[in-house]
Parts: sequence; C-alpha cells; structure tokens
Amino acid sequence: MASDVDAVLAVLEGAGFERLPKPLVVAGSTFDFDAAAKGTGVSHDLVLVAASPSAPRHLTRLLSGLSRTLDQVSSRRPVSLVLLGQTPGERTMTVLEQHARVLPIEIEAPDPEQIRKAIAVLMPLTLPSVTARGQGPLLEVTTRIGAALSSEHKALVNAALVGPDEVRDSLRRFIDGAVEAADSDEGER
Amino acid sequence: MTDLPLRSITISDFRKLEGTRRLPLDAPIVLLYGANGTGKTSVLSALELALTGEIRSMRRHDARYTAHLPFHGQEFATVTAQVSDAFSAATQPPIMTVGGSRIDGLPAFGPDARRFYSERCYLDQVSLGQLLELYQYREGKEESALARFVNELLGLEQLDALRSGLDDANNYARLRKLSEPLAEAEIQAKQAESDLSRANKLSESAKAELSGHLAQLLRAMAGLGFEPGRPGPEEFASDAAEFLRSIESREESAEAQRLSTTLVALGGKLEELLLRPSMTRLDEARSMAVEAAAAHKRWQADHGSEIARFRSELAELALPASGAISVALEDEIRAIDERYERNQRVAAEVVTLEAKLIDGRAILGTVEAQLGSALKQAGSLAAAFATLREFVSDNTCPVCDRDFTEVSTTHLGLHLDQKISELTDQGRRIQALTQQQASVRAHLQGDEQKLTELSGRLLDTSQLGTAASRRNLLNDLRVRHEQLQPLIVAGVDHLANAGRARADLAELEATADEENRVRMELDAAAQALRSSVLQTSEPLVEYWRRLASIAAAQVSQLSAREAGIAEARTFVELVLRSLKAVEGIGVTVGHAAQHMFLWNGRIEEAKRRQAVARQVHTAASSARAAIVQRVFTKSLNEVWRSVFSRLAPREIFVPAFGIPTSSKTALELKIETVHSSGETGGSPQMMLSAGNLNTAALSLFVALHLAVDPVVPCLVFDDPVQSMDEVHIAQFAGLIRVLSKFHRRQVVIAVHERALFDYLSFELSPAFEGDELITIELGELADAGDRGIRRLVWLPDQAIAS
Repeated sequence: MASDVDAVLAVLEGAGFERLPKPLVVAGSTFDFDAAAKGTGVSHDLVLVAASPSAPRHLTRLLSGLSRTLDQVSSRRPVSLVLLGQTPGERTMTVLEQHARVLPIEIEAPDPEQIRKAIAVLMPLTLPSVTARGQGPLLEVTTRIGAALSSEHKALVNAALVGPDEVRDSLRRFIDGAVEAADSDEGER
Repeated sequence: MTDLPLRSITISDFRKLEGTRRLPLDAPIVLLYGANGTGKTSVLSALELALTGEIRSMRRHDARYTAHLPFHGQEFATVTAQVSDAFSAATQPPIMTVGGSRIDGLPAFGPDARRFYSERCYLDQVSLGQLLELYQYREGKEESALARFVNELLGLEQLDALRSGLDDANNYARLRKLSEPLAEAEIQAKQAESDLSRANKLSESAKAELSGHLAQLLRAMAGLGFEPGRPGPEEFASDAAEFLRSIESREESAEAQRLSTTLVALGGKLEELLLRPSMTRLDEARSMAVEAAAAHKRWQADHGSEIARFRSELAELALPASGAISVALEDEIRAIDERYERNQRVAAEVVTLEAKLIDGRAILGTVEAQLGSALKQAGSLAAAFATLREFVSDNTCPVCDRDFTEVSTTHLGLHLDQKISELTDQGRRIQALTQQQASVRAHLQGDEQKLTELSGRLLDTSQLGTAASRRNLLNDLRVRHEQLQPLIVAGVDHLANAGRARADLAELEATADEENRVRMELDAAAQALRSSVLQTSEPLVEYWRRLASIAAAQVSQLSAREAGIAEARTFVELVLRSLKAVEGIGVTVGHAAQHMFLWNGRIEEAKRRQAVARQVHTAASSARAAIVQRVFTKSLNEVWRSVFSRLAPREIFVPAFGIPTSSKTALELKIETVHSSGETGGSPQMMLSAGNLNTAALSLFVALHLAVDPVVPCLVFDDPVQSMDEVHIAQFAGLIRVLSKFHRRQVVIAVHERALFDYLSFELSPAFEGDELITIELGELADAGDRGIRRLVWLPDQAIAS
C-alpha cells in the first residue's frame, strides 16, 4: 500500500505538485496522512493521500481536524483527498466529502495512468497540440502524394483554394491540354 | 491579468434589474450569486445582449423577445459591456438600447467574437438541459449546429472541393464528358485506326491487283516471244515496254490494211462491171453504129435538100421549121379567115349606123322646133299675168273691164292664178324638151364617133389582096407538108438510131477500159501480195477472190499481232499504274499509322494525367479520412472524454462521437457512449443517468470550446450544477479551476444556492500572485455598501510551510 502512496506521489510530482514532509504540519499542528503534496505555480491545492483506513473514523477526524485548522488560519487552499483501496461506507464518504474533494482509487497497485485518471481533476487537461491538429488539409494531401508530387499535382491541389468548380475546371484544362497540344501538331503537319 | 476579455457590464432597467447597476467582470473568475428571482440570469442575458446584440435562447423561444427586456413599466433598457480592446468592435463601449421591437446600438464584440461567444462561450441555463438535442437539431436542410461545428473543425471544405472537383477523374467515361477535346481525341484515334485498317486493306488489294496484272503481262509477253530478264516488277515492266516499242510493225500493218481496202474496193468495181453489158457485144455494137450512120446519110442524100427548101419557105413566112408544122400552118390559115369575117361584120355595122344617124338628125330637128315655140309662148305671158294679178281685186278684168262672171263662174283672180300656174307647167315642158334635145345630140355624137372608128377599122383593098395571097401560100405549104411528113419522120428515126448505136458503143468501150484497169490493179496487188498474176483460165472474179483472201489473211495475222502488242502494252500500263497505286497507298498507310500513333499518344497522355488527378483524389480522400479520424479522436473525443471523466469519474459509459467511416462528403454525426472496456454502447440518453446526461452535455460544451482556438477565451455558465450531487460539484469546481488557472479561460458562473456559492467562492479562490476572484451577490446585498461585490485577491498561505 505504501508503494501505491508513492506511486500517487510520483504522479503528482510529475504534474508539478510538491511533496510535503511527513507528517503534515499545518499551522503548527501535525496531521498523520500517508502523504501530502501541494500545488505550485498556478495551483495551490493541498492533496492528501490516505490508504483505505481500517478505522474510517480516524480518517474523518483527521480530515475534519485539518479542515478546522485551515479555517482557523483563513487558508483558502482547496483540499483533495486521494483515497487508496476500498471505498469506505457512504456515511464516511459523506463526512469526508464535506471537507475535501475525495478522489478514490479502488484498484490495487494502480498504474500511473490509472492514477492520473483518478486524480485528473487536479491536472491540466491534455488538449490537442497544434501538430496533433494537423497541418493544413491541402498540405496533408501533398504530403501524402510524397515523392511523386509534381507541378501538375500542385496545380490541381491549389485549385481547391478557390472551390470545387475551379478544381473541376483545372482538371478539364489539364486533360484538354493533353489532347489540345495535339491540335497544334496537327496544324504543323 | 490584461488578457481578460470581459471587463464590466452596466445594466439599466433590464428585465428584473431595476435602475442602473455596473458590475465589474475584470477577474479570471467571476462568481455571481442570486436567489431565484433576483436577476442573476438577467445579468448573464444582459451580458450576452451587450456582447453579441441578441439573446439566443430567448430568440429561439420568442422572436419578439426584445419587447419584454425593459424592466416592468419601463419603455426601454440599456446595456453596456466593456471588453478588452482585443475583442472590442468600437473604441468606446457602445450603449445598447432595447425596447419594443428594436435593439439600437452596436454590440461590444466584433462579428467573429460574437459568434464564438454565442456558440462556444456562453451556456445559458435553458440550453444546458437541451444541449444534446439543440446541437443535433436540424432545421430543414440545414446541417445541425454540431455538424456545422465539426465541419468547420475538420476544415474539409478544400478537401471536399478537391475530391468533388476531381471526381470525374475516377471514371474515364465521365472524364470524356468533362473534356470535349478528349472525347474528340477518342473519335480521332478511332478514326485514325479505321483509316489505317482501310489503308492496309487497300494496300493488300493493290498488291493483289499488281500481281494479277504482272501475271497477265507475263502471259502476253510470252505470246510475243519475250522472256523476262531482270528481277523486280518495275524492271520487268520497263523491259517489256522497251521490247514492245522495238517490235512495232505499224507500217507493215497499214500497208496490208491498205491492200486489203484496195481489194475490197476492186471487188466493188468488179461487181459493178458484171452488171454491165457483156464485152462480147462490143463488135456487134460497133457494126450497128456504122450501119445506122449509113442509113442516116442515105436519107439525107435522098430528101435532105427538099426538106431543107420546105423549111426555108416556112422560115420566110416566119413559121417554125420543125416540130408541129402542120398545126402552125392550120393556125395561120384560120387566122386569115377570121380576119375576113370580122371585116365583113364591121362593114355591115357601118351601114346600119349611117341609117341611124339620118333618123337621129331628123328627131333633133323636130325637138328643136318644139322647143323654140314653147320658149316664145311661155316667157313674156307669164310675166304679164303676174303683173296683172296685182291689179285684180274683183271679177272685173283690168284689161277689158268686163265682169268675168259673164264668162265663168270662177273668180277672175282664181282664173289668173290658174293661168299663171299653167304657164309654169309650160316651163316644165320646155325643160323636158331641152333634156330630150341634149340626149338626142349626145346619141348622135356617140354614133358619129363609133362610125368614124368602124370606118377606120375597115380593110382597104390592098390589105385584102395581101391577105388572100398569103392564104394561098399557106395552103400550098400545107399540102406539101402532108406529102413530106413521112420522110421527115423517117429522117428523125435514122438520126435517133445512129445516136443510140453510138452511145451503146461508147459505153461498151468504157466498160472494157474499166475492166482493163481493174485487172492491172489486181496484178499490182498480186505483186504486192507476192502471189501469181492472173492465170489464163482464171476468171477475173476468181482472180480477185484469191487475192482478197490472201490479203485478208495477212491483215488478220498482222492485226492479231497488233492486238497482242496492244494488250501487252495495256498490261504494261496496268502494271505501272498498280505499282504507282501500291506506292501511293504505302504512303497513305504510313500517314495513317503516324496519325494513329499521334492520337493514341495523346490519349495515353490524357490517361497519364487522369492518373495524376486520381492520385490527388486518392490522396485527398486518404487525407480526409485521416483528418476525420484525427479530429474525432484527438480534438473531440479525447477532450470530451477527459472533461467528462473529470466531472463524472465513476461513470463507466463515456459519451463520444461515433467516428464516421464513410468517405461521403456529408458527415453523419452520431453521439454514442463507450464503455470503459472499450466497447461501444448506446446513445447517452439511453446509457446515462439524468445527472450524468447533464454532465455529458456540459462536458461536451466545454470540450467543443477547447477543441478550437479560443477566439474569446472565456466561459460563462448559468447555474450549470443545478442537478449535480456533491461529488460532481467538487469535480466541476476542480474543472473550473483547471480551465481558469491552467488554460487561462476567464470564467463567469452564476449560481442560485448560497451553500454552493460559498463552496465555489472558497474552491475558486485566487491561487497565485495576481490571481483574483470577483463575487457578486444580487438581491438584498445589492443595497449594501459594497453593493454585494467583493474582489478577492491572492494572499500568501501561511498554513503550510513551504
């Protein structure tokens, strides 16, 4: 279970959280959570990590104590509790949720991805980067043609900037050109 | 934070908000609280109106919604939003006035920002519950809002333009329809092919003809004794032509022909000679001619002088010396006799006329006497009576003064009138007598003239004597002519006989001459034909026949040879012509092949270009599929899943777009769910609870906002967590913080629950230096000192040692 706590901490640290020394000391008081971390930069979350308690009451007391302490020092830090192991009963959960955002991880030995998913709300969203959104659609076409790409391909592709009629016209002119060059040959003969 | 799009809103008499309120919005997060009915939604509506110029959710509901916007009892409302210069349409915040059916003034945002705000930034309370339906709602043929968004996101317009524009390249028949020149080239190529095939056929047939003509020439030349020397048809034809020129025998043939013609002509002459009298009669004719001449001579000696004398006498009398002498004599005698008779008639007439003249002269005397007396009576008496009449008024006579009644019962005047009348009648008689006198005189004159004329016509004695002697001479000649006539006739016969005998002789002599000439010509022909001359026993006709037969045979032999030469020459011509034709067609075949090659080349080029176009089409299709796949997977589904999972971490069904596999231009958008196992589930409406369905909608809204470049980086929610439980609210708050702090979106949230407001105020507190939170409380606190507006700034947290 200790390794699970470390795993959670590792994910948190990876997301820019700062591990806090154990035991957690808030306004001079000590709180015996399995682990704690705080946000840095634009985040000021306080994240507590607790393995599923054999005695739920201990955890609820611990959390409500922390909550009161924070209130007393007018701290506006939002508190999240990562709860490892089996989710406690509903009553416990209700009490816990009154003091913190509870992020349960019921899976045993969760992998980092599962942890990330469970604590996602604390992390920035992964938005598609500009490269993932792709280059211009027409550039994508020419890329796909690859080494075969010629000025003929390009002329047809560029016509798409104007519209389908222009593409069609370009195609017509292109094909016309194949046989119309012939007409002038005819004339020369 | 200088990049916050929304800065403030000033609202006057708008919906539930009476009076004027200015609300600051220049913080990363603005939290708006108001119990139900305090105008929380009015603020967000006013904000939408001020920013975009309309309130979409209200317009959807009622097109004339502007009439209801002013505060109850007010005519109009005004709203003014202040926004960052980056998004502002005007330098000064424009004031918008609404009321009745009008909205005056310009919205704060420019057109792009307006649209983006309406569609991607502001989620009103009404829309949240119906979001999935609204997104997928299609009016008529218009695409749904979602489809429009996805299409814009996909940027497939150019690819579809490319695909649809190049569609014809996938089908050669369609390509031909597109490019008229290509269709024409196809026709030309087919034409060229058929031209070539025709030319080849022509070439074959020309070659066959040539070989036929060569065979014929070979045969004809063999007949003339020519053997081919050099190989090759041209050389053969040329040698043959040379040979034919060398064996020409035109003169010989002409000579034979002339001889034959001469013989034919001679045959004609012979035929004519056979029709003439036989030569044996020649001596007989000669003696007959001598005899007839002698007879005529004798007749001349016996009667010639007498007859000559008779003729000279006739001539003296001016009569014809030959011919109808007796008739002439008779006519002459009759004329003299008629003259006598006529003279006698004239003489009788003279006598009668003389008697008539005597009578006439007597009558004339009588008439003249009567006329004289009448004239004497009439003239003076009538004039005297007329004078008297003027003096008569009664019956007393002015001459004698006697009463007339004594002698007559008639009145004297009347009597005088009667007398005058009678005297007038006498005049008429005189007139008649005068006429009679003239007539008698005229008759007398005529008769006298006639008498003179008749007397002139009477023959005198000498004339009568001459006529009588002439008549005697004529009568004498007539008698002599009757005696001489038979002699004259005999003489004429003699003369005629002599003439005829002479003519016969002349003709027979001519025939003999002709026969002689014919024989000579036949001899000449015999010589020319190298045949024997006339045999003694041979009749001339047989002689001719023999020669004619030889000549005909010679002509026939020569013409057969000529014909052979002519035929051979014809074949030489035909061979030469065929050679030329074969050569000419060879050129045509070359041209046709060249033509076909040319057109086929062009069509090949067109096909190559078609392949280029198809390559582009294929690349466009594949790019399209890739983009669709990428956009749906990365831009839409991953973000949606990410947002939804944050809000509903325990939900095993996650809403997602079905990824269109069809390459059709029109995308069919389908929203489904995906089970955590990866399997596709049913639609969110079927698979999710009401709360999670709301979450699905809210997360979709956020996902769509995040899927594109934020034109306006803000999100405005009106009571988004109404039906959420505690867990979801905590998750939502976490999401808002992430959006605000990590993704720099300005967030405005309106809530109506105090507890929730308090929770969010805490949860969304400023987290770092410069971070701020504005909370606005509507309702009672609006009248407080701070008008319910609090600006929270970041304070270093001392609770946890760093």
